[in-house]
Amino acid sequence: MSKLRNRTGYGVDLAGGRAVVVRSASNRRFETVYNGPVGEMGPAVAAAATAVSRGRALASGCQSVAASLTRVLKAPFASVKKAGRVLPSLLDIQLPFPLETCIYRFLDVRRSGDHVRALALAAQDEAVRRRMRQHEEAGMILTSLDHEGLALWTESLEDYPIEPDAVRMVVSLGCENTVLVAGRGLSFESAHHCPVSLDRLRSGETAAADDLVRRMRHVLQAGQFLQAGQKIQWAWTGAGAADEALRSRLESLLELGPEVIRLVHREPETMLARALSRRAIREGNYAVNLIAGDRANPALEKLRLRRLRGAAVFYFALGLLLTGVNAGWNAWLATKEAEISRRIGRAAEAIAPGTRIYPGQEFLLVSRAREANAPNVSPFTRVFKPSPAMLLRELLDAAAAADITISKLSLRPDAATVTGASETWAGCEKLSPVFTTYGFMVSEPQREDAGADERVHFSLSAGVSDGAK
Amino acid sequence: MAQSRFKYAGLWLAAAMLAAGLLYSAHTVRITPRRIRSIRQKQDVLLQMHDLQKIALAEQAAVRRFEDDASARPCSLKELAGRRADIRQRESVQLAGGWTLYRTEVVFNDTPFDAAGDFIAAAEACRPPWRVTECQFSASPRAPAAGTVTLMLEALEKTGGGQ
Repeated sequence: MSKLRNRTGYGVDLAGGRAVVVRSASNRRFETVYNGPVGEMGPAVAAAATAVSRGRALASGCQSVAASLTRVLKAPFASVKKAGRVLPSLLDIQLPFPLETCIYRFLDVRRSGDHVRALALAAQDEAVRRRMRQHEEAGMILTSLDHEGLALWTESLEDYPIEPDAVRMVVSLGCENTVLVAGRGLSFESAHHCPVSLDRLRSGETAAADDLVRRMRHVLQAGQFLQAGQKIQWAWTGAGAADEALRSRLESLLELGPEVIRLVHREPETMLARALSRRAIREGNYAVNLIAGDRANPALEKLRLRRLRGAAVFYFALGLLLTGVNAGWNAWLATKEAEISRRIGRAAEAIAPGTRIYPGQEFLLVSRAREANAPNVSPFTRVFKPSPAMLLRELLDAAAAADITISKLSLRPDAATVTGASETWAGCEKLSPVFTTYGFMVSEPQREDAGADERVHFSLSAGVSDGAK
Repeated sequence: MAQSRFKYAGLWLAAAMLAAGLLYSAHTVRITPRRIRSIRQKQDVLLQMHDLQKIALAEQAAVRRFEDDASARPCSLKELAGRRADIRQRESVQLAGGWTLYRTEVVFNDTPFDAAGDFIAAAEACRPPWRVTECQFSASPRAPAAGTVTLMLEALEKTGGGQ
């Protein structure tokens, strides 16, 4: 069953003329809102009822074990889907009244070996109406009607976790009657009621205690829980669980040895209401609502609608946000790209005015325009570059200083050669740094034929690298 | 009924909006790397254009400096060199803006190389200047550091009215 998520849940336990109302929050905090006679409950829980009617909280009561029926059904199919079709018929056979007059649910439907196992829960339609009326008269319109046995079982597991194969008997000693819930591991097996009131048990009436103990033994035998070596956990709850003398008497009648695990639930009087409030707001394997469908509380529908509207608004806003963010991002990219294109266009216009520039070809067209215009411009710019005359002057000075005799010298913008003679081979290399200073690349000096003057004759070539031209 | 219709219309609208947002996001994720690549390429082009612009500005500034003194003529090489030089005008090239580029060859025979250097310095000091573009020194076997010096010089002169 899909449950609407809500932060606040109310559990209402009406039994024996008394009411217990517990509020639970999603942070697992519980608070007893009311614990007293049913007749005085209305004003005390008015605020809670208003919150429920406005869809701000969920309220859950329970169909008693006495007015309902649970059965574990086994369908001889391997397929859960196929088994689902025959489960109503299997339940119908087990019911003492027509299935059509019942509200029923199948829970925990799963494959188990070669068959499908399901827990069937049924209550007569009239009994459900009566229970709803009781809650309405008490002052609380429920959003869900849970099952007493299932609520006690799941809450017992919450309080005391269980080992996978352990058997537990939850005994709820209520004011009106006693409820027995049996299960193995996490599986709920059966729920039974025994019409023995707490007053009768406390009065010391032997027959009442005997009746109850006989019923307990019957449940254990019928459920095949008394296998050799099987230790049964006894979990006591309900208004009578706090009465230690009563518990001791029942345990001694049951002949429970010291090895048996005895558990007493905390605040046993409010445990059922606590369980109902928790189950009102939480999903779970045994979650059930007997008033779903046409009889659902209008507040629930209102809440569902509000959630639906909230979800629609959220997803619409999310879609809008995504669209907006994407549109903004794309617009920003487009603006940035257009701005860069504009700046390129402006630069192109400034570099080559009057040239027809096509988008995407700016650099190519501008470069071509500059190449075409280079003869018009380069004579002007050459004037402001370092003069070859300076190089010439420095070469002559360096030659004089190094006692180099220059016989030929050729100097062009991109190449230079020097032929001459010096005292030593190392002397001719003193011209190289002068060329290097002016951006020439100097090759190794070449030794020429020696003359009659006994000096070293050489030739030196220098060129301008491509990047420096 | 109307409320139900509205409820589902709202849901459909929200679903459509969300789908549109998701599709748009997917589209954006797909095209963004391409657009960023394109922007980076354009940024690179812009940087190259800026470099070109700097060069163009320098060129324009060079031309402007000549334009500021457009009425001046290059000084006479004959006067600078005297009778010892053989001077020949090689070519004159018409440039844009009414400028003319003159190329002149000057040949010194049996001249000390230092003296040729002094001539070059004097020619370049003129306004507008003569500029040496090529030079060749051939030493005489009789005297070291002296011989034939062949120089190619160029100068600009405003000869027309263009801008």
